[in-house]
Amino acid sequence: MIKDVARSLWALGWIGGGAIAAFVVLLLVAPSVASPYVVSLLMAMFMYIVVCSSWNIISGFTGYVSFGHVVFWGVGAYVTAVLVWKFNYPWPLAVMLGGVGSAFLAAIVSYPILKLTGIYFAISMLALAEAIKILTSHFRSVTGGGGGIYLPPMASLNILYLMMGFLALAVVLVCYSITHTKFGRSLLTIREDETAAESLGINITRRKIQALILSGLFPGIAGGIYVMNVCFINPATAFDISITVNIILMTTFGGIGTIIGPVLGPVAFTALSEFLWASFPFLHRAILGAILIAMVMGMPNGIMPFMVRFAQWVGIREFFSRRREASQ
Amino acid sequence: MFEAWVTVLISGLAMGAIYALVAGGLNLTWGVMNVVNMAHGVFLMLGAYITFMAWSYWGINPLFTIFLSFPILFALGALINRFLVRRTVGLASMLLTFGIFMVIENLAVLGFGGMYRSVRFFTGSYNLMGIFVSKPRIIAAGIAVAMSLLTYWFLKKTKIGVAIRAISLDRMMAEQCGVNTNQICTITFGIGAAQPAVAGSLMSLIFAFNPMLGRVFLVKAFAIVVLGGMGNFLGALIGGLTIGVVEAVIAFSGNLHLSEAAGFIIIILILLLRPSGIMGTRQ
Repeated sequence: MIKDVARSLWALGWIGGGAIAAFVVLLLVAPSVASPYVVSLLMAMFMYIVVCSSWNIISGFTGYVSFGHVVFWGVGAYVTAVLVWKFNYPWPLAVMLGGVGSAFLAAIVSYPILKLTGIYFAISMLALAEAIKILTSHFRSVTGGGGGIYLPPMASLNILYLMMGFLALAVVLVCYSITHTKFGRSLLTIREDETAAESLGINITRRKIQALILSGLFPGIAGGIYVMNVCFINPATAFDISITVNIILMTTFGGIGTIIGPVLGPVAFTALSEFLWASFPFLHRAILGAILIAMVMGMPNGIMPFMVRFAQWVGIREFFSRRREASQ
Repeated sequence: MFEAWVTVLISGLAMGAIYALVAGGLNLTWGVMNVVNMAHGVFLMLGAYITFMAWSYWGINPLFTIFLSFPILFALGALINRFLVRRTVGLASMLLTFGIFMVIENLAVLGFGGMYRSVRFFTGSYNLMGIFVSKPRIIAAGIAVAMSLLTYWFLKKTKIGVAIRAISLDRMMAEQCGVNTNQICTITFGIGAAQPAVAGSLMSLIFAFNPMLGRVFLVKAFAIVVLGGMGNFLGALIGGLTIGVVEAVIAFSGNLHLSEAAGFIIIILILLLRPSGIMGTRQ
């Protein structure tokens, strides 16, 4: 497994390595040249890259479309907030434990919930998110109830921004390298045909559980970083179904089941929704809805078909193609 | 104490009857067209506003406004199906109808404003030997049950109803037998939009509402459909009544938040333990 990962990273070559280096340089330079507004915007973008890429592991690679992925983000945010607020944990530790908390939730629910497929899986994830939202409001003594938790500002924007940026890079690299491992290929096989995967000797239950845990881990960390930046969390924001829909919208726009899709989608949509928000303060949600409708009707595969053509032309097909085990 | 429990039970059953009407519409589109309609909540909200508008501007008796909300939302649903929903199934339809939800809800906030409205037409309650029955609740519940049974009759006895059921069994086969599936699906989606609208009209009698009314039902209605068994029309009625009673009982025991969560926990449990629902037959 480690050998596969190392080999896949080596296979990135000059283009991939150069892109990563350029990203890191830009990441480090941005806070000193850009305004705090731009830094916050970039941070929101990185957050969505993390969440979309994670969603893509379970929904794009494995084929189990989750309609409640916000639950992992929200739980991570809440675990971090509670640990800092109630137990005075140092915040970097609390952020990491936020990821552990959401991965733990994924582990608990994974076995029963992954028995369901298709729409039933989607709806039960939706119900899970709603149930946890209400339970969070209910257990007032632990979570602060519906009023939420206010935290004192502890970490500076730039530090949190860097953490989010490196997390986004790490998640994208993880997504890239797992498709080169046996684990990742098992997931792709499960997506294409579960019965065939099982008859090939893949332990599908175990693989799916691992995929869901991996896909629940990163949003939890991202949620923790988010809450340290905003210093406030309440159930309505932490488990907002709009975030799930944004995730699906962005990833679909970028290209489900690809590595670069969950990166392109958030980049395009953060810019777009920021523009809409500023230009149409009362209508931006309706316009986003209209875009959602137009996208489902007009280009169900997102911008990927165009991108693949472009990538073939440049010669870096690796990043763009929808992952199939046969192409490896 | 006994009277109190009976009061709670009746109140829960009354609310459940209205839930069943909401779920009935959802069940129809899901079971027949395999379209997961996330927009049913806004249809319900539009129904409530139609009643409010008709009552406050023209002074129409709120009970008669269901004859307005049904056809208006039937037309809207049919149009939405004709131009959008017809071309998608499954998960794509979930995203599409969520888009419709976002557009209509946002426009409703702009048009109607975010403040709470209420239709104060029936007030007070009946007192039957210590058992209190709220007037608007029981009237609304009666109409809701009548409406559900009417739909049931429509599906069982009329020609269009038979066609709808044929499509839910096997779409290809129905088409082979000469059913105009596109037309029938448009009618189905129309009814699927009109039923929640009537439920919304009835709900406006019971409590105050704003354009966010639909959000509450976004997932709750799924819980009822799953509980009753997808595509099972009596199942939705029984599922609705069950959820109404369970919520009322938990709320009466002093746990308002948990009563809200009950629906979502039921949905997960039912999907895990008995995916075909309490009334469903195993495939």
